[in-house]
Amino acid sequence: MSRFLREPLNRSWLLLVALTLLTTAIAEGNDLTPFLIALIALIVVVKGRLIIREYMDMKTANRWLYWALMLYMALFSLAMVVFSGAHR
Amino acid sequence: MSTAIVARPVTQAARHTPANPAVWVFVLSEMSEFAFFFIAFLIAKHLHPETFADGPARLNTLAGVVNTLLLITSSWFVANGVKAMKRNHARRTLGWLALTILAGLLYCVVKYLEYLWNVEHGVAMRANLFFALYYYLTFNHLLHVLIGICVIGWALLQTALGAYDSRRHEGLEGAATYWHMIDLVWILLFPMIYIVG
Repeated sequence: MSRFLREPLNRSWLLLVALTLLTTAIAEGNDLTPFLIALIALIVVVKGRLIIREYMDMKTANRWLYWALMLYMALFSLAMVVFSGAHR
Repeated sequence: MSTAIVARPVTQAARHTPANPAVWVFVLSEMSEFAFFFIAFLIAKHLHPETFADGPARLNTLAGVVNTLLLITSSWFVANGVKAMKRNHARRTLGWLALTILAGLLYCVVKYLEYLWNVEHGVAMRANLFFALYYYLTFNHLLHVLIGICVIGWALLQTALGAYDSRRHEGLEGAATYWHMIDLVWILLFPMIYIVG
């Protein structure tokens, strides 16, 4: 198990699975307040960062491309919060 | 001055962007397409808040969660496939790519079952604007998964034919990049439709 966890790709996969289940638990157990929606959006950004950095191996890639992908994830996550918060 | 001349090639060599510029133009075009869908969804939500507030509760969240886990896992498979190729383990790459295709096919099966469940529970495209956008976005994403399965299948065939090695595997990286893009889009799509609405 420790050998499995030493590999960054494996750690990222476990974290992504855990964050997906956490998102579901937040949604199932609660009435979604703006704070919880912001938390879900933050989880989306963290998951996106893991995929971009670890899976896509963009750690050492062109910085413009890396930040364009990160901006895409951050902007739509923020939009999700803004458009939800306005009606709650 | 001389330090800068020496340092520059080292920095450029250390930076490696997966695949090639043509693949990135394609991937960014696809992401732009989904960006317009997301904007349309958010504008529709702003105009019809009560319709969108009730939408997620009528969807099959379990199917969305299972598909998220399948896509995350398939991305992990393909990333391992690229890593194995970088270490010149072509046979291992074949195995990882086959697992990626399997996970992609399972995603399609779950999506099919989800649509069947929708029909049984009266979740129809014409019911309201939320469901129309739900079907449009998820079916469009499904089409991209099917294209992705073909792309990964092509990379698998090239790997089997010995077209790649630890130094030359741009095509494999391109296929993997496309697959990860599908995953990234779903990571936004899942909470936007199934959870927050």
